[in-house]
Amino acid sequence: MRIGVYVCECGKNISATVDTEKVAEYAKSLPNVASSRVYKYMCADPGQEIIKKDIEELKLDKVIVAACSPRMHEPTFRAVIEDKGLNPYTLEIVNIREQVSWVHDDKKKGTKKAKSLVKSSVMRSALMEPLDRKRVGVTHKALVIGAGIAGIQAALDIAGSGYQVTLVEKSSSIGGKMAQLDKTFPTLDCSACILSPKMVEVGRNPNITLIANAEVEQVDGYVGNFKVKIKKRPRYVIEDKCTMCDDCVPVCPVIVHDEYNENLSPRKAIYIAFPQAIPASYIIDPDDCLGIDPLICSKCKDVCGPEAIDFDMKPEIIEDEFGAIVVATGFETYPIENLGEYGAGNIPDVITGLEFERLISPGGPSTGDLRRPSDGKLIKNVVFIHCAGSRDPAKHLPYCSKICCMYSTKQALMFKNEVRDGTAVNFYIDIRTGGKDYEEFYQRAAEEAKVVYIRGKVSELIQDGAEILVKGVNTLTAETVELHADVVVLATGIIPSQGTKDIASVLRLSLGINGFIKEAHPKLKPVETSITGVFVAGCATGPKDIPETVSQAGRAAVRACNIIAQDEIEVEATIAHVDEILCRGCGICVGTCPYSAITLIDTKRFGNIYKVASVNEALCKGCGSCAAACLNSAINQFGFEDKQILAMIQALGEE
Amino acid sequence: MSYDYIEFGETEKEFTSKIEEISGQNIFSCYQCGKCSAGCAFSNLMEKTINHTIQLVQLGKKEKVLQSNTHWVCASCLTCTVRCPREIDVAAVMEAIREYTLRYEPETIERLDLPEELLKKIPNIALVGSFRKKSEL
Amino acid sequence: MKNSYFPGCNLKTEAKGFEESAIAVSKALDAELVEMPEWNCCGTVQTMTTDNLMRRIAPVRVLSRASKHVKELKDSQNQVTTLCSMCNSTLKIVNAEVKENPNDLEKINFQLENDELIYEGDMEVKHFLEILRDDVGYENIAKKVTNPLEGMNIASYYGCMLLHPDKAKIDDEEMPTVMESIVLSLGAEVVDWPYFKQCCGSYHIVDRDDIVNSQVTKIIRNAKKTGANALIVACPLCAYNLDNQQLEMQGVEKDPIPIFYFTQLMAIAMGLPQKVNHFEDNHINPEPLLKELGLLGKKK
Repeated sequence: MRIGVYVCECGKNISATVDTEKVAEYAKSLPNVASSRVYKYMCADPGQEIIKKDIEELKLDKVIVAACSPRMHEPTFRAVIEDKGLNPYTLEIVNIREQVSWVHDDKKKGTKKAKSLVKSSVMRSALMEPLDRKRVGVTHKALVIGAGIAGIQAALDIAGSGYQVTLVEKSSSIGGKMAQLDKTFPTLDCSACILSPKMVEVGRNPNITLIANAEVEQVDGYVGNFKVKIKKRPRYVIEDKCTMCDDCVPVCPVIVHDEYNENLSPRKAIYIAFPQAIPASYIIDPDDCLGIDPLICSKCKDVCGPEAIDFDMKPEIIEDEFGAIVVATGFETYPIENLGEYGAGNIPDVITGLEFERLISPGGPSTGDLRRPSDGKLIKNVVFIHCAGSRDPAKHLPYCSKICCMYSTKQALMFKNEVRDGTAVNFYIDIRTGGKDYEEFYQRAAEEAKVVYIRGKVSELIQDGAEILVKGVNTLTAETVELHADVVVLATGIIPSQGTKDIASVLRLSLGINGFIKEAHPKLKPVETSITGVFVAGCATGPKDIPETVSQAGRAAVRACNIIAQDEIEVEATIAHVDEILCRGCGICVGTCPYSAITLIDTKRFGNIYKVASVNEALCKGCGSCAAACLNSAINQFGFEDKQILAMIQALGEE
Repeated sequence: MSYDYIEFGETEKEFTSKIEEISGQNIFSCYQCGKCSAGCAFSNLMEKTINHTIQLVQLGKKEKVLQSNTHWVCASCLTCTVRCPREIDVAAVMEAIREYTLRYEPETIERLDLPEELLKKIPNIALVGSFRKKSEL
Repeated sequence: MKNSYFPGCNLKTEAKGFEESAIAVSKALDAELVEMPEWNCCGTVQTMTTDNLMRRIAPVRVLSRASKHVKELKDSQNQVTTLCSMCNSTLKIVNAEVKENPNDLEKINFQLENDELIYEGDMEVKHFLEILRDDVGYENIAKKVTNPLEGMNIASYYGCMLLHPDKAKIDDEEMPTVMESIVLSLGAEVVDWPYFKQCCGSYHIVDRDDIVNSQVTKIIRNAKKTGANALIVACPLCAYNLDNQQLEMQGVEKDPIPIFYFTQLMAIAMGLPQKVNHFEDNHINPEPLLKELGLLGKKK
């Protein structure tokens, strides 16, 4: 056995707190170590060459790299040793950066700890065995979950690469939140005008299968081979037959709130979300319709010329297989009900940014006339409160929602363009305009539209007669200020949508502390998730504006195509395996496995039938939970065998 | 007093637009970075910082603006003007506030009683300058 | 070459030495300053209002008379030269404004009709420093130096009006070099100091000498701290404030340092007759320093 140990200085990242020369010197004294060297940047080409040269000249059969986290460079160094004929799974990484230099100040102690860790890895290395890489086939088809702008863009980009893609949307139409916006910053483009061509293309593209009014219920399988169950709720209107003639709407006697207009206007129980909706078909709301079980009213069905209405439509379960998944389940806004100091939703003229967006839209509840919700009075004075619930770790959201400065500025500018003699006052903590042309847009609002910005938070909103009394502060003049407004718009922040939470649970995706889906790496793997083959785009990972969402969707599409374009892909080699002699068939591992990869099977031994655990190699992700849980040490994980781990522990104990 | 009621009534709007008109500046361009106050050689003698004054003009707070000595302490050195990132001629705004007072509320200005001895000694240029900035001449 | 010269109010009264030395220097450098006829007040301090045309009549009248004068001079460019920062600023700004707004110029010309004057927007305004830099050249100044100012460590004080605003500036507003370059060509040492553009307090001297004193203290202390034994200025008002107020504050600020108008030092370095400098009008007597350094009455 000839082991080579390579200690990286990582510039000063490691060498400032770890005496790398001493660590390398110490490694030479350990059993089986044939070579031990230090280099400034082991991951750089010259560093890699040192290892390759040693493998060749010193006939090494194991390599240990003491450097950063294996998450960072394990693939790099596996490739290095594979290049020289060694099995990549015999590489051992000692993390002396994240686990030593970055967390310690004392060089003496750091050096000592690094030595111990190197020693334990040398012990493990000697026991490591070559592993085979497994390959599985791939379904050349992708699933995109959520059809807001992120999902639409991802689906279009996958379809544009020539692959089949299924787009699943929870609500009756695609378009998401962007379809509710009147205009978009910083160009004041009409939102519908730039979105609807993409929506139409989704409906038209032969590579895209759109399933609206549906949800993903279950996902099994693994990268390249996800088995997915989609539940499609009945629409009660046959999409292909509906001609959108609108004859059904006037006769429908049921009036309910219109969600598309943020409940500021009514709609019927049979309706279409908005004129540009895709699928271009009406839908019946089963909760309010009087025609669905029991059948009390059938007025719409009676007038429907093309006989498109079917009260007996049943939910449908669609099962399909996909090679990769893109999650684009979007966001919701922070509930106004949580903001007690701003009236908790009980002051009718205190509204959210999204409500204002509908109010000012010509297609909205006041057909663009800008009348306030309470009494229909034309709006003259608006106060915008930025960070309504954001940047407030004590009570609400700890983070900055990123888009609110811009959308409040946009709305104030739009308002002033509509109501020339009106006033728009923005209360802000900081103005954050970190996007292309955003600062210029903010300056334009102030300069051209004379939008007033007051630095300070509003503490309370009080209904005062027909108006709202705003109790705020101007921190720049060091005065508390009060003013009256016709309408107060709360720039409520972005929170993960229910759909994001649901799909995270179905897919077992890791979530960050704020409930957004966690990226595999915040900078370098922004659309990858903890599950190989599952990607994410848009606000499901956190607040984003439209340009960022669109670019992210593009990357998620490319990453999905990287997988579905292949005929075979490699899967994890460090998976669990069962020693059938030791297994007592207790089944603890079956319940422990988060990936449903273990089942109990019958096996014949000494003429009798016994139950033993069996691992589905394709489903196993190598998490090690079963190996830890097994009472009889019957399950082990390739690459992390008990004997290896025990050798490491023993080495550490000797120090 | 550290309280204010904000209102954009006729009085407020008129004051703001008058200052804008006299100075030829867009007051709303100011985003309150404070560079004008930071570089002003005289800010130690001003009752309100320059950016504070500008904010008050944005809000139409005539009385608070005129009560402060800020615009009178300003010596028109224009350091603020050349350094303003928003291209506001800040000194012109100070001038406009002086002018506003001289034109519309001259009774609020204290008359100077300068001794003859001083008048002889001080350079003409200072006298002319001072009278033009601080009186109706 | 001849230059039409606009004196302004101060150069004829408190600052005679500035004018006489400048004229002497200008002659020696073949850039003679010739006083224009019938000049009036430049209109200082320039108004920053948009709507007060009356305050712009005086400077336009000066420009129109100067325009006539340069035609009479023949050997002259279409430019009028000043020795005062405030005149320079007022004339330059108003000149630029009326060139940009022909309508305003028309209205002002209507007022000038009584004097049978009209301004056609054909003039440029120059401070004498610009003439020295652009028309004479530092090398030509150096050639005329017979009495190099060895031992003088000079802090060049620009004040605000030479550098602000864009329409009036004679040099880079944050990092000017013209005065330092002249100092070097006179054989003196340049003091690198940060307070060269701090306002002197200007016209506040009339009723708020506290403001001026506070500025003068800052400026003079900084000059001394950086090793200056003299200051040069290019404006009679800066000169008065820095010079006279140093004396006024003797109780607080000891050891005043002399303030020179830049052409006074040029006259010494160029060996011109000393009477042009009228040092008797300087508040802080500069002669002890000049004698100590052997710069007075010496001719090479």
